[in-house]
This record gives sequence, structure tokens and C-alpha cells, in this order.
Amino acid sequence: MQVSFNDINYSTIIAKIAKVWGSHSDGINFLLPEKAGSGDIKSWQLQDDISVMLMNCIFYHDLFLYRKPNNYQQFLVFHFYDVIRLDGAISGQNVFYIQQHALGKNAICISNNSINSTIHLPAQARIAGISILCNKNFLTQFIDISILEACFSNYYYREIHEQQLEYLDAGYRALLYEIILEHQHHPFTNQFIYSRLLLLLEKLIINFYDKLNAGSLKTRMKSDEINIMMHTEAELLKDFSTPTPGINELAKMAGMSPTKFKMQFKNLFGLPVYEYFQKNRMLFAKQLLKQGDHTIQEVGTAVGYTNLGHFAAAFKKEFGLLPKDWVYSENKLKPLHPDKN
Amino acid sequence: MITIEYGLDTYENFLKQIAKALKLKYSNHHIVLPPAIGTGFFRMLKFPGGIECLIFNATFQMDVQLVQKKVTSEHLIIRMENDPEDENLPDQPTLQMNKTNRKWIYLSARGKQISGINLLFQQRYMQAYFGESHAGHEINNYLNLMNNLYYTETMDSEYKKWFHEIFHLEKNAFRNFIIYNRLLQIWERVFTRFYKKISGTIAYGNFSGDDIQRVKEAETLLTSDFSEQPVSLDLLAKKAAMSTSKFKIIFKEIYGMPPRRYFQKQRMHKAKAMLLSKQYPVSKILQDLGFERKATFIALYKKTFGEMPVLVIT
Repeated sequence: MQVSFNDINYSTIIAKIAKVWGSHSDGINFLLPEKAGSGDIKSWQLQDDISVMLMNCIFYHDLFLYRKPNNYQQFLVFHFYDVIRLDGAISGQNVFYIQQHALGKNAICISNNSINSTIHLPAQARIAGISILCNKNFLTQFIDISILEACFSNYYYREIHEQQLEYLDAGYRALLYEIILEHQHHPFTNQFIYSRLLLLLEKLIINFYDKLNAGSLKTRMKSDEINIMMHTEAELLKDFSTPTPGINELAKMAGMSPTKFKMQFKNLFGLPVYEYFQKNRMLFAKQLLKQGDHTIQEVGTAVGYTNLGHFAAAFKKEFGLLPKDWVYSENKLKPLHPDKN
Repeated sequence: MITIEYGLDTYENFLKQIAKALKLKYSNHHIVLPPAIGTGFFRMLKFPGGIECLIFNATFQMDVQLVQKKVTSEHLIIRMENDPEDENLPDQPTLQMNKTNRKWIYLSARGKQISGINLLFQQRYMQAYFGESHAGHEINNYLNLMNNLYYTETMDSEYKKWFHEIFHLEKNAFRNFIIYNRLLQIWERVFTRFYKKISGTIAYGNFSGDDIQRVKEAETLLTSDFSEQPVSLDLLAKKAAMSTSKFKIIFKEIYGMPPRRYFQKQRMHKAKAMLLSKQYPVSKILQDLGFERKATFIALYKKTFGEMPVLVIT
């Protein structure tokens, strides 16, 4: 299955995607028909000319989205996609191509409307993703154009030459899934998506720029090494309730020495292994508490603490508040007009 | 005692007025106090949508009274005053929101440090940011009714974190981008909480999270297709695995109106979104939203939005 387009608005792109299966879509929401797969694709036109597409689905056939160049004002395109193969295979599935060059799995893709680019959405995979189209002028309001140019031209270069990029690690995934899973239930959906997608862009641009300046991108990592690191990262964060694999075990999994593993981990994810683990463990705990369905004790157990005091202390270290105080400050809202209606 | 009167429409004018009253130089959106007057600075930043931000941290050598006069333009201010990490300050830091159409007096006592982050924006601007959401309309109506808006809350850890990130951010290439993103987070949190307070949705704490989740899922079903008759209440309740009466109560708690009315409202908002996108002929909109007659659609549109739809002719 394939779709070609050069639009700068996802609602018309979604309408074109729907046509592939002979369906119609208003471009705002496209529920995949049974023969195509399950899940849905949505678009939002947000303030400041930003157009986004949210995808949360499984396709029965591979889908290729070909972007053709056009001559409109310059738009930037960002893709953040988490693709999980249902058969459990991790490597070898390339999601993005720019100018026909393949990138590693779950790399974040940056492109623009004046070059060819392709998204390959594989069949039989759980796909959660967001695509963002934004006018370049929007970002130059905040960030010096020379810095943006340096970031993006370097990024394009690295995409074409299959060098290390930014990958969808736990921090990006947390934001991505927050957008995908919670946008419907937020009272201000537009604002909710807008402010979070800016956080995604902030993280992407700053992380990449910092790495560029720190020279940490100079040590070349091979594409399969990156795949292996992404795989071990997933293993590390898979289940907080059971004892985590130690560094030696992880290094063994990745097939390298503990020293090399530690170095590459920090290089790719920006933090030492344990700090990274702990940070994400606490973020997960906060997420559970936010849902409001679990007691603090349950959450502590779910993230692997047997001693609640230790959990509370770790939580406080990360967020500056004890879990009970945090829950209290989230819930203490009282109606201003209880007798309204 | 120095008294400075100003009308607040933009922070640029505000800073100019202060600079003029204190005979200081104003340049580059920035005022620095000279030793004769005090220490510290006032700085403003401009963002898309006309949002302005004032960051200040100053100590005056004399008592200064800032008197904000009433202005007719409708702006809202969110004020976060006093660095929450300053341990010399005894009270819990608070966050306040009010309109610029009321008088506001701020006294800065001699030798006392004042600091804060303020956010100024037009009420009109919010419309773009809320989109056509139900909550946005409710907030707008509420703000229009409340001439003397005074909203306050204690700054919790999230606010404190964002305040810290803005206030102590070192100069770097991404400074404005980071500040803008934090301001949006603050803005969103203020209005989410504000909305919860005015709509009283927090009252549905009486029901279990599962119940609420299932009702929300039923809501998705209800608004998934407007071209057909709305799914019956009995069926929705069945989907949510609860009795019809319980479903009605929870639904109204969450969405502020009964399911049928909610369906109509969402249907018309979708119509408006489709019209505004200028991509659909009227016939398509009528068909997608299940209207057999154009006249019915126009009448309902007028009733909902108080204006005639701008029809796209193709």
C-alpha cells in the first residue's frame, strides 16, 4: 500500500490515506476499516500553523507514505514513531527513509517539504506516533536561525549517512504516549497537544544540539549497535516490579564489555545507566499516581520497592515532594460554586 | 514614597512608564536599577499570540507604590510573585489571576526584595488556544460574566518547578523557547484547574475511576459518528456496564450536560470546524453530520453559535 502527497496539512493527507482502502475520511479522524487493520489516525490543525497527525493503530499491510517536494514556504516535518513488532522481532525493521536511505529503528526523523522522504509503516506492528508539520518561521521566533540550520543540516546529513541520531528513548515515549492516550480526556485538547509537542521538539533540538557541541556524536556507533542498545534499554525499563538486570547482565545482553556498555549507554541516552533507570522508574510511579486508581503502597510495590519509606524518599528526591503530599496537591481542588446548576 | 501610575496593556508600555518615572534608560525590553534607586532588574519577553511575560527581581531603596489603573482592553494576568525558594519569605507562595480592568496596587517596601514572573495575555487570544472545546466555551462565558475576577491558588511543586526553571535559566541559545514552553505548561495547568473549579467536575470523586473511564469510553462511542442517529442512552449505559440512571448522572458530572445535548453540541462544533477548514462543500458536511435538510442545519447552527454559518460554495 502506498500514498504520495506533498500537502502541508495532515487532514488532506489522511483523506488520501483513507482512499487507499477505498474509504472516505473527513481528515479529522479516520477509523481504520476492518480490512486495513485496527485503530485510528487523527489530525489536528493547531495554532501557529502547526498541523499534526496522531496514529495509534495496527496495519495488516505495509504502508508507505511518500512525501514529494513542493515549493511552498519552508515547512519542517518531524516524526516520532514507536513501532513495536507484534511478532517480537526487534531489529531489522527500518521505519524511515530519507531520499531512499534507510535509518535505524525508532529513530526520530526530521525532514522538510522540499525533499523526498518516506515513512514505512510495517504490517503487524503496534504503531504509536505523531507527525508534526510546522512552518520554519515558527521556530525562528525563539531560536536563532543559524543554530536551527546547524541542527537540521547536521541531522539531515546523519540521516542520509546512517549515523547516530536521536532515538525514541523513555523520555520521548512518555511524552508521546501522554499525547496519544490522554488527549481525548483533556478539557483543552488543542492546547494539550500543542504544549506537549513543543516539549518533544524542545527535547529533540536541545539534546541533539548539546550532543553536537559536546562532540559525543564523533564516536561512531554502528547501526546494529544502536539497535542493540535500544533493545537493552527496553529490557531495562520493561518491568519495574521485578529485580532489574545488573550492568554486567545488560552488557552481556548487548554483547559488549561493561565499560563499553556504560560508555555507549551514556552517549546515547544522556545519563548513566542507574540514574536513567531510577528517573524513569519515578516518572512511571508518578504516572500511576496521576491515574488515581492506585494507592501509594500499590504504586511503590509496582515500581519494585518493598520498603515504602525508601519509595517515598526516592520520590521526594526526584520531585521534591513526598508521594502523599504530591497526591494531596493534585487532588485538593474543591468546586468554587458547589451549588451551581 | 514614589508612586508610579500605569495602565497595563503591554509590558513594553509598563516598563517605559516605570523607566520614565524613575528617569531610567529603557532598552532592549529591559530595565536595570542603578544603585541610587536599588538593585535588580525588570525584563519582558514577547511570544506568539501576543503573550507577554515579565520577569523581575528587584530591591528598591525607597518605598515604591505601583498603581495599576483600570484599562478598557480585556487582558488577563497570571502573577506568580516571590521566588518560592526564597526561605526568608514566610508565606506560602501563591499564584493569582485577574483582569486588567480593575485597579491594582502593589507596594514595594524599602529594602524588601520583590521577584516574580507575570504572564499577560488577551482574553481573545485564549479562543485560538482552547479551540472549539466545550471547556473553552465554558471558561469564556465564565470570564465574561465575572467582571471582578480574582482567582488564586497555592503554588504547588509543579508550579515551583516551572518557576525555578524560568527564573534561574542561564542565558543560552534556547532560552526563549524553554521559557515559552514552561509558560504554556503553567498556563495550561492554571486553566485546567480553573476549569475544574468552575465546572465542579472534581465532584465526581464520588465515583470510581473505572466508572468514569467507562463513561468516557461511551462518550467516544457517542461522538464517533454524527451521520447516524445518536446511540441510544440505554445502549451507552450498557456499554459502560451500569444502569441508565447512574450513567446519566456520571455523564452530566463529567461533561456538564446530558448525553443527547452533548451529542448535538459536539455535532455542531464539528460542523463549525469543517466549515472553517474551508475544505468541504456544504453537501458533504450535511451528509457527514446526518442532516437531511440544509434549513435544519442552518437553524441549529444559528441556535448554537448565535450566528449564521459561513457556507462554502463549490
